[in-house]
Amino acid sequence: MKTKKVESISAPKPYANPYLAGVLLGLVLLASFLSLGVGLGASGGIARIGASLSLCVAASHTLGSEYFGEWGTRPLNYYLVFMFVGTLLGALFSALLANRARIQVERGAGTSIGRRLGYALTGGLIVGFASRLARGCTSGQALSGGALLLTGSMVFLVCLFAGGYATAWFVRRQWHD
Amino acid sequence: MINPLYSLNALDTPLAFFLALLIGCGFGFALERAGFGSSRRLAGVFYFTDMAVVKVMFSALITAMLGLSFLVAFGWIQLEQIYLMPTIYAAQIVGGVLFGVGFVMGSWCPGTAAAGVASGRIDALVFLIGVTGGSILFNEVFPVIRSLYTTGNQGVQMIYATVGMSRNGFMLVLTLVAVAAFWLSEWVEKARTGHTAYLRSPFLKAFSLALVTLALGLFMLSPATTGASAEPVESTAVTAVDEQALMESVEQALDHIEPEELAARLMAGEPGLLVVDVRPAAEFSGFHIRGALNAPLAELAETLQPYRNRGLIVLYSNGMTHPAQARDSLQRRGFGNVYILTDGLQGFRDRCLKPVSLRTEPLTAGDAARVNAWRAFFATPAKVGPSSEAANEAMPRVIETDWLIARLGTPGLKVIDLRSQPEYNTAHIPGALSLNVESLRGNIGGVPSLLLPPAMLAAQFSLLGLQPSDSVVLVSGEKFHDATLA
Repeated sequence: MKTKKVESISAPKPYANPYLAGVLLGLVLLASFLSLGVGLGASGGIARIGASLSLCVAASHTLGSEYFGEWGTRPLNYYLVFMFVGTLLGALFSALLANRARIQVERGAGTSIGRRLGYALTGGLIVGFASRLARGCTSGQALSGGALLLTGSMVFLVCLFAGGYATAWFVRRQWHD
Repeated sequence: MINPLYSLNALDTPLAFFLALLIGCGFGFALERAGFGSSRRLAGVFYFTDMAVVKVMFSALITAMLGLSFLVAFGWIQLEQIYLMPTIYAAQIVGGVLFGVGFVMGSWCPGTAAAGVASGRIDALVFLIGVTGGSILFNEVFPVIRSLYTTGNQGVQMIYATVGMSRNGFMLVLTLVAVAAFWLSEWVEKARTGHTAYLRSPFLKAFSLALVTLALGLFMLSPATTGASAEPVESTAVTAVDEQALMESVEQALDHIEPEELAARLMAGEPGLLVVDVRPAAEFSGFHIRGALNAPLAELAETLQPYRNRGLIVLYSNGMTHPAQARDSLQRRGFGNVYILTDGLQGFRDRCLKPVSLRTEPLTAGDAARVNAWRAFFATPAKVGPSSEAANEAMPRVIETDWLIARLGTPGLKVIDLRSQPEYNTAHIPGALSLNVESLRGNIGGVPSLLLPPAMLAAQFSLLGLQPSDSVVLVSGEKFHDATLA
C-alpha cells in the first residue's frame, strides 16, 4: 500500500486537455499581440544566439555578413531572446509541477540513441535554415501569422504539413517500438 | 485604446524585454501543459497516433484570431498597431516544405524543443544545437539565396482578401474547418489506437459550439461586413478608413515633393530628411541624388523601420510607379512620413540639373544662378565640397570630451571609431560607427595603399550612413592615423 502511494506521487501526471491547453496558448498569444504588438516566436531568439556565437568565433566576418551583420554587435539585445529564456523557464515550471521532467532521449524502443540524436540534429539544421528563410517557425510564422490571417503564414502552414507528411514514412523507424 | 510597444517603436526597451520574458513563461507553460515537451507526442501527428498538435494548434489559432477580432470590433486596438509580416510566396513555400521535413525528422520545432529541454529531453537539446547551426548556415549562404529570400515580396497580404472573401466570412469558415479537424482527429485516433478521450464527448460538443457561436457573433458586431453588402475592398471598418485617408492624400497630391523643393531642402542640409533611391544598386552607383540611401524595394520597409514617422522620407526611382507603390505599401504599414519625388530622377535631372545653356524656356538671372548652384551641389561627385567646408570653418578641429558629450545624439553629428574591431567591441562611444582606415585605401594603378578614388570613398561613406552635411568626429586609439580621413 505504502509503495503504491510513492509510485503514484512520482509518476508523471497526464497531459492537460489539448483543447484547453490550446485556448491557454491562444490567450498567451493574444497577450503578446496586445502588449508587445508582435506574436510569439522561438526560432528568432535561437538565431540570435547563433549570431552571437558566430561573433565570438569570427567577429569581423559576422559583422560584415549580410544577414547577421544587420543585428549589430549585440544580437542578444532583442525581445525574442528574452522570450526564449521565458519559454524555458515556463516549461520547466510546468514540467516540475506535473512531474514530467526526466533526463532521457525520447525514441522508439527499436531505435538506437545514436540514430535518434542523428535525426534530431539533422532535423534541427533543416528547421533552423528553413525558419530563417520563411522568416519564422511554427510559433512566429504559422501560429502568430495564422491568427492574424496573413496569406504567407497560411501558405507556410500548409506547406509545413505537406513537407512533414511527405517525409514521415521515410523516418518512421525512429519511433518503432 | 491599447498601444502595443511595437506601435510605439519601443520593442528594444527594457520594458519590452521584461514583458517578452513574462510572455515567454506563459508560452512555455502552455506548451508543456499540452504535452509538447515530448517528441513522441509531437511526431504522433504525422503517424495519426496522437493528433494533439492539430488540436492545440487550431484551438490556439482560433482563440487568438477571434479574441483579436473582438477587440478590434470593440475599438480597443487596430490591426495596424501589430506587426504584420509580409507575404513572400517563394521563401514561405520553400521554407515551409523544408521546415516540415526537418520537423518530422527531429520531431521538434524550435518552441516545443525549448519545452523539451526543460523536460530533460536530450534529443531536444541536440535539435536546438541543430537549429542554431542551421541559422548560422543560413547567414553564410545568404548571398547565394538572397533572391529566394526576397523575390516576389507581396507586402502584407490578408488571406481572406487573397481568396476573395470578407474577413468575418473567412473566419467563420476557418472556425468550421477547425471544428471539423477536431472531430476528425478524435476519430482518427480511435481508428488507429482504439481509444479516444473526446469523440462525441459533451466537452467537445460544447467547445465546438462555443467557437462557432463566437465566430458568428462577430457578424453582429460589425454588420458593415456581413452578407451581400460586404465589399471586397473594405474588409474591416478600420482598414477602410485608412484606405480612404490614403486615397485622399493621393488625390490632393499631398504625397509628392517637387524636385526644386527637394533640391533646396537638401542644399540647406535639413536635418531628418532622408532621400531613398529604390533603383538597383548598379544604377545607384552610376548616379544618385547626393546624400541618398540605396534600398531595394523588397527590403524597404525593414530598412526604413527606424525612420518610421521620424523626419521626412522621400522615395525616388527613374519614374514614379515604383516609388508610388512603395509609398502606398509603407503607408499601410503605418509610415505617415513618406513622400515621392515628382517625375522621379528624370524630373530631377530635367528641372534641376539641366544646364542653363540647354534649356529652351527663358530663365531669369535668379533662376539661372539657382540652377548653377544646384549643378555645383548635385552634379559633382559627392565629396566634401566648398559649401560644407565653409560650414565647418566655425568648428574646432580637435575637440574636447565635454564638447562631444554635450552634442552626442544631435542629428548630423556622426562619431567614427578608428580603433581595431576588438577594441571597438569591448567599449565605444554610444552611437559610434566602427571603421577600419585600411578599407579606405587600395591598390590603384599598381601602387598599393593609396586613398581610393572619390566615387568609391563616397560609396563607402554612404554605406556608413554619412551624408555630406554631417559633422564627423573621429575617435582614435593610441595611434593617430586619422589624417587620411580629415
